[in-house]
Amino acid sequence: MKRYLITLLGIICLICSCEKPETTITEGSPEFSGQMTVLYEGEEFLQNDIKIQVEFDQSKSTVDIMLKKVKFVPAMPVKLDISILKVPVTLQDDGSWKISGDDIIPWAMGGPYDTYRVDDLKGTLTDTTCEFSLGFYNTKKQANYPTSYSGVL
Amino acid sequence: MLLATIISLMLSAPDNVEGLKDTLTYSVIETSAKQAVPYERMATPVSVAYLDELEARLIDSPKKLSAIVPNLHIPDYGSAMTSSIYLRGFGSRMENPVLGLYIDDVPVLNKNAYDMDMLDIRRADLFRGPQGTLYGRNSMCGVLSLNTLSPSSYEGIRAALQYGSANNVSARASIYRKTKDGLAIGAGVGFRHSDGFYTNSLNGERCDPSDGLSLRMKIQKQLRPDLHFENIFSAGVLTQGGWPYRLYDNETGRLADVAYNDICAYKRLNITEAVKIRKDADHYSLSSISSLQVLLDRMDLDQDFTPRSMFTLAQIQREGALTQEVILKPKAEWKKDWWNWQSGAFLFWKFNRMSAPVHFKQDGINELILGNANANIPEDVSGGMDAPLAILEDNFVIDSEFGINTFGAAVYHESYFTLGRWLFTAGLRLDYEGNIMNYCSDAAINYRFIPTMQAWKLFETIYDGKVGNHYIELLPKISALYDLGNVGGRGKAHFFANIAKGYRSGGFNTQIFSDILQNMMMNGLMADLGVYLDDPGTAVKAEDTAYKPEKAWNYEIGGNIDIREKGHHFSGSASVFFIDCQDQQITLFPPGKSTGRMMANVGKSRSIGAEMSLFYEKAGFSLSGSYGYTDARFTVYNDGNNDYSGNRIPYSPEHTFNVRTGYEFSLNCNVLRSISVNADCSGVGRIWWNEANTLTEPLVVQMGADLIFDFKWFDLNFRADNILNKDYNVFYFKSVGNSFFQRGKPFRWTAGITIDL
Repeated sequence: MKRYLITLLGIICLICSCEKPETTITEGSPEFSGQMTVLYEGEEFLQNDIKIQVEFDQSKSTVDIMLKKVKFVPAMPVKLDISILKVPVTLQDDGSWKISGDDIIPWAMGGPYDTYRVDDLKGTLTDTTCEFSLGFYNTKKQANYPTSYSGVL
Repeated sequence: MLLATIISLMLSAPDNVEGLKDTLTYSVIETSAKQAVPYERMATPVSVAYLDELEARLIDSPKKLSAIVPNLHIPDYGSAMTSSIYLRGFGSRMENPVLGLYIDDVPVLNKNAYDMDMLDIRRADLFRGPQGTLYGRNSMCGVLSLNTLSPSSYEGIRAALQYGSANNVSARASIYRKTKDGLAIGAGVGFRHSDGFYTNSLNGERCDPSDGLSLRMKIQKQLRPDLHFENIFSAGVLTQGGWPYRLYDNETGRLADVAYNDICAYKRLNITEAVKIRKDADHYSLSSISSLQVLLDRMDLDQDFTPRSMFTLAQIQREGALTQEVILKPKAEWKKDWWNWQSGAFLFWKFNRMSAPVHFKQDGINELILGNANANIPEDVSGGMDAPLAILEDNFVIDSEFGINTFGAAVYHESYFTLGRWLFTAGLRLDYEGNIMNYCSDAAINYRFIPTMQAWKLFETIYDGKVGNHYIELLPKISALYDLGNVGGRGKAHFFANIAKGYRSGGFNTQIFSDILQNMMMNGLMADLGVYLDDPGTAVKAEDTAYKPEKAWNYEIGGNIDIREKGHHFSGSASVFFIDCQDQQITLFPPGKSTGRMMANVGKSRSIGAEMSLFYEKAGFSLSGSYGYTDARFTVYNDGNNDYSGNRIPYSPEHTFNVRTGYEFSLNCNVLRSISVNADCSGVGRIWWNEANTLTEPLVVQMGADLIFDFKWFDLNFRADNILNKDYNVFYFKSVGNSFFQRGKPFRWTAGITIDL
């Protein structure tokens, strides 16, 4: 009997070791804190301690990225909470998640905020880090603000 | 029941009653439980007015003592609730007064009840300068002690009926009797009506009509040879309009007509039940004064005072209070020739349940709330819309409820040492006071950010909590008085000097809570949208609404003289004072288009002044006058935006004066006994209306006159006030960025009949 049990445990361990690596970032809404850089009129506009929350959907095929209290340009008299919703995400072999998206209307102030459009979003999420770059395109001014973010949990 | 009592007393009226005027001659009768020495030997200036003078001049409210008492200014504006009192340069528009009011030794705890009907006031004594040692809280600049007619010392029936301008009707009746078993009962009732003096141009109606009813019942009995009992019940009900404020154009200096579209009204019911017991033992007398005070009032205010639908305030107070004081004085062996004293203890508790809902209307929402909010939304965020933020409601309420407990305890002692011609006084009082306020403000609106939101979203704001405030004050007093003797056998004269400390209590700015919630609501709403202003402004919090006591040291020298010779009677008094005030409480208007105002301890100030009063009488001729000068300035006052150090303290006048002269023609006629003709002139000003001292009111002089026919059974009297119909301002303030003035009352006349049986 013992031999059967040991064999069974061995098989279970073998099966488990063949599955893709487990990650915790998909649970809840983890919040990262880090640095955001916006390229504005040829100069870098740096913002520290920017909080970003991510939330995976149930199928883990998309992720919502919520940027908190951010500015696009230094002269902006307000900070905004902006969400980039339903960003496609894929799990990598090393356990990280690759995010990518294009032509996304962000969500702000209770609805779609079509003054801006998110282009060329790409980056990586791990259990402890969040890095991405994107272009915030002002549809009215027809100006693009390349933005990058790097934060830790 | 009161009517039945009056009728039964009238039926049992004795044939011969003591004449009223005989009981009211100038005297040194001890009238206050706290009075230990005759007034002329008190090292503090006192203004005294007796019943006959009060009634001849139609002084039926403490407001009318303005200017008659040097350096006292109680402007008549707003409503009866607005009893702003300025004395010797200090005072404030709201909250605690600098002048304590006592009626028959009972302290009136709520300033809202200060403007009352002075029914059968036997004498009014106004002690100027801090009276903190004996009276404690809110007597920083003085105490007004009113003593009503006592049925133990006066028996008779009194009645009066007056009619005058603006359909002013005043009627009163009272009766004072002693029964065979020694029970003395006095009962009186008074009624007042006025159509008002100011017209709201928006509807063409008078905006300050008023009706008031007051009554008092006093029972006195010597229960035992050593035990005296007194019960005083008084009540008053009042309903009136008011607040006839006129919009002021800062550029042209023009005043618009009174024009507001919402209700401005004040209703008040106040009841006081007091019990006084005095035990006269062999070596001491022990007085106990207990009172229960109830005040229910409601103020409705169009808070923008314009025809626009901005916002209104309804402030409802339900207040109950208990006071207890005991006073111990020595007698016989305990009282030495060289040493007299009194000690006392005072307790009080007051609970005020206040509701103060602010009702925002369409213009107020658009301008005060959405206007401010939308102005801060940048174009990038608003999508180019002028007003991206919208509120569904065309009106909503910011509700505020408060439960305010105020309680205090005090012990005091004052000793009087006589050394030859010197009388030295030393006293000390320890005062504790605590305030605890529970507050809850809330509001709910549906909002929408039009560029991004398709549907309205409910947003609720609640702000509740509890704040407290406790403090202890030590209130010392020392004084010296020198008796110059009998001035060659012709009278008496005294010089005095005193140093005393007084304070007025701290409290809470309940008025600012609608501002706090309004700020919270807008910031919360923006946060709910995910928009955060870089500079959200300085937010006032509940703990910021508490303010501390205002304290003042008074240094004073003066003297008084009273000479009677060959039918001439001359008396006078004069004093100069310096007051050093710390933590001065002053009303501030929060910056921007704020709806509220708040009291703050803004810094330090000082007041230098002089006071003088004179009286001369010869045969039927009489002349009396009073003058007060005050130079009151901030010494340290910076509100964060401006430095007002060195500027005059607003609202308090630089000069007050009053001169009255008259002649009584005595007639050898049994029916018409005399005719009195009197004229008076009073002045108040200059007044600085704001901390920056950019707006002032010059010295305003008003004339008055009265004529009295004294018949055997009654008097006929005629009086005119503001005879020259002087146009002047009595009040200035700002609301929602606008400036307003209230004009003083125009020429008025009154005719009436008075009966004393």
